[in-house]
Amino acid sequence: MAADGDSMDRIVKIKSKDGQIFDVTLGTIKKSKLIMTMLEQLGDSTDAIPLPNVDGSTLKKVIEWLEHHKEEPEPAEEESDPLRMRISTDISEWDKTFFDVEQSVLQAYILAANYLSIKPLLDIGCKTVANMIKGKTTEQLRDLFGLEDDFTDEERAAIKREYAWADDEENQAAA
Amino acid sequence: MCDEIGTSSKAGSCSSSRGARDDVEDRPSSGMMMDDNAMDTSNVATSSNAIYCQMQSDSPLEDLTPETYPSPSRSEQDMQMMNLDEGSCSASVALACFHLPAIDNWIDTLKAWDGPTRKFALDRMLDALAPEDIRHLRDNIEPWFQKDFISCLPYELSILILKKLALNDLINAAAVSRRWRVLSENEFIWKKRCDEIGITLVEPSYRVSLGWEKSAVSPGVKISNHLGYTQLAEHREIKKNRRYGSVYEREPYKSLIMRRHSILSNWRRGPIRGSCVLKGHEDHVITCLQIHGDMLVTGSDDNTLRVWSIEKGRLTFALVGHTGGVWTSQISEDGKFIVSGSTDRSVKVWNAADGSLVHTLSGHTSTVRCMALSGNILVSGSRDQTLRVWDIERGVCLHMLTGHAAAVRCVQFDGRTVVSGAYDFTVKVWDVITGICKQTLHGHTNRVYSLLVGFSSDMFLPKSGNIFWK
Repeated sequence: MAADGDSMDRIVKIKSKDGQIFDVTLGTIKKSKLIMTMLEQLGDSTDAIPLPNVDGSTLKKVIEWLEHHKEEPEPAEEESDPLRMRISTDISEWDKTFFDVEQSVLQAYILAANYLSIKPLLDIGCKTVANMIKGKTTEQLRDLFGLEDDFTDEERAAIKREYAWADDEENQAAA
Repeated sequence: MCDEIGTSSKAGSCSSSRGARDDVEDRPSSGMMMDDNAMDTSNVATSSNAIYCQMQSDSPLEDLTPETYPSPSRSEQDMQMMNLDEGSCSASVALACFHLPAIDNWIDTLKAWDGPTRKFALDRMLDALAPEDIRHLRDNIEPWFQKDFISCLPYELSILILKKLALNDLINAAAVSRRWRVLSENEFIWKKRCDEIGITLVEPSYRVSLGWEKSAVSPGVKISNHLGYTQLAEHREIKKNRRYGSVYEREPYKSLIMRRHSILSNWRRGPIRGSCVLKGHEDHVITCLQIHGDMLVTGSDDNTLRVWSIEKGRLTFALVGHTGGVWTSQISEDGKFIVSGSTDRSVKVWNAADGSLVHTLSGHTSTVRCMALSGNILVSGSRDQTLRVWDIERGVCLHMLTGHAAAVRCVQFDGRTVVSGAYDFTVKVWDVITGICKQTLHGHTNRVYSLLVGFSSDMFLPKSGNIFWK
C-alpha cells in the first residue's frame, strides 16, 4: 500500500452498525487491515465502508485511539525475545486512561479491534485485561469477573495438587 | 414475591421496585399474554386488578456493570424462578405484584414440582408467549450468561489474553471456574512458556521397564536396594493413574513443563528410586566419564573405553586399540565421535555409532592428559608440555601450542580461545586461530589441576584452584 503523504490524507468514509458515518483519513485508518483490504477491493469508490459488527460509540473511540497512535510504526509481528515477553504487560499512561472503562465497553473495544484487524489495539486491549488479572487471587478474580466457583470439591483438590509445583517454580524464578 | 422482584431488578431487568412503587398506576393488563392454555396447570388468574408499574425499556445489557451482576450464589432453581417471574410480566409492563396471592400460589406450585415437570411447564409457557415477551425474557436472562466477558470473547481472543499472564497469574486464573480452567489448558499458552524456558521435547525414560530391572538379574548389573523395583513400579502406576477430574485434560506442553520441574526437584531433594551398577573395567581405575543422551562413555587405565546405554543399563561396545591407559575422553556435540587420549601418546577418534576407529592422531611425545572439544576442533594437552589443536574429522594437526614449562594438566576451549593449566603453576590463554599465547596468568604457587572458564560472559573469567582471574 502506498504510504506517501497525499494518499494518507485521503478521506475514507466508514459506517457503523447503527448507521453513523465517520470521515477518517487513510493515515489514521491504515492500521486496520480489514479496511485496507476493503479499500483495495473497492478501488476508487467513495461509498462509505459498512462495518456491521461495530456500533457507533465504539467506532468513535476506536478512531480516537487510531488518531492518537497514527504516527507510531507497526510493531514487529511477534515479540520473540523472551525477556521482552515477560514485561509485555506494560501500557502507556494514555492507553491506560483510554481503557479505563467498564468491562462491557472493554469487551466491545477488543471485539472491534479484532474485527477491524487492528493488531496494536487488540494487543493493548488484551494486555489491559491481563493486567486486571495480574496479581489477583482466585477469589478476587471471581469477584472481578462475576464468576461462580463451579468446581466440585474433588476437582478443587485436584487443581490444587496439579499446581503444587508452580509455587516452587516461581520462587526459583524470583531467586 | 417481593424478594423475587427485588432480585430480578438487580439483574438489570426491572426498574427499581421502590421508585416504581411511588408512581403506581392502575393499568389494564393489555400486555398480559398468558392464555388459559398456558395457565391451566398453574391455576393463576391473569387479573386485571393487579398493580402495575412502568418498566424501563432500555436494554438491560447496556447497564451491565459489575455491580449489576447477579449474585453468583444463586442456584439454578432460583434462576428458573426468576425466568418465570419475568415471564409473568408483559412485554413493557412489569408487575409490582407485592400482594397478589394468585402469583404467589403459582410460584409455590412451580417450586413444588420436580425438575422435569418444571421444565415442561416452562416450555409450555414459552409456547404461549408473544414475541415481545420472549424478547423481554431474553433481555433478562442474557446477563446471566454474559457476565464472564473473558469466556464470552471468541476463543482465540481469550487465549491472547491468557498468553500474556505470568505463570502464577495463569494458575490463579485456572482455578477460577471450569471454563477458565479449560481455557488455561491451551496449547499455545504452554508452548510459549516452553519456548521461554527453552524446553525441547525429550524422550521419556524407560530405564526401569527397559533395562534396569531386567539387567538386575543378569550378570554385571543390579538395581541397588534403595527402593525395590516393585515399589518403583507401583509408584509409577499411581502417578500414571492420578486423575484430575473430568472437566479438563492436561495440555502436553504443560506436561513438559511439569516434567522438567519434577526432574529438577528430584535432583534437588528427591530420594533415589532406583539405580544400576555397570561393571566392565574389572579392577582397573575409571579415569574419565562422558555422557551424551543415552550414551555413557567410560575410559579406564585398562587401555579401553566402554560405551554403555544408560536406559538399557548395559554395555553397547568397548573401544579397544590404545596401548596405554586412557586418561581423558570427549564426545562431540552431535554425538557422532568419541575422542580419547592415552598414555600411549596418541589421541584416537572413534565412531560413536559402531565403535570403529576413525583416526589415530599422533604427535604428542608423552601422555595425553586432557582434552577439550568444540565442533570438530579438538585441543589436547599433554605431559610433553604442549597442547595440540586437531581437526578430528580430517584427522590432522592444525597447531601446536608451546610455552608451558611443565606438563599440561587441564584445558578449556570455546571454539576460539584455549585456556590451559599446567604443572608449571601457570594458566595460559591461547588464540586457536593463530596458535599464539595471548596471556600467561601467574599466581598459583602449585600445580594447576583444574580449570573452569566462563566463556559466555563479556568478561573472561578463568577459575583454577582457588584463584579467580578477571
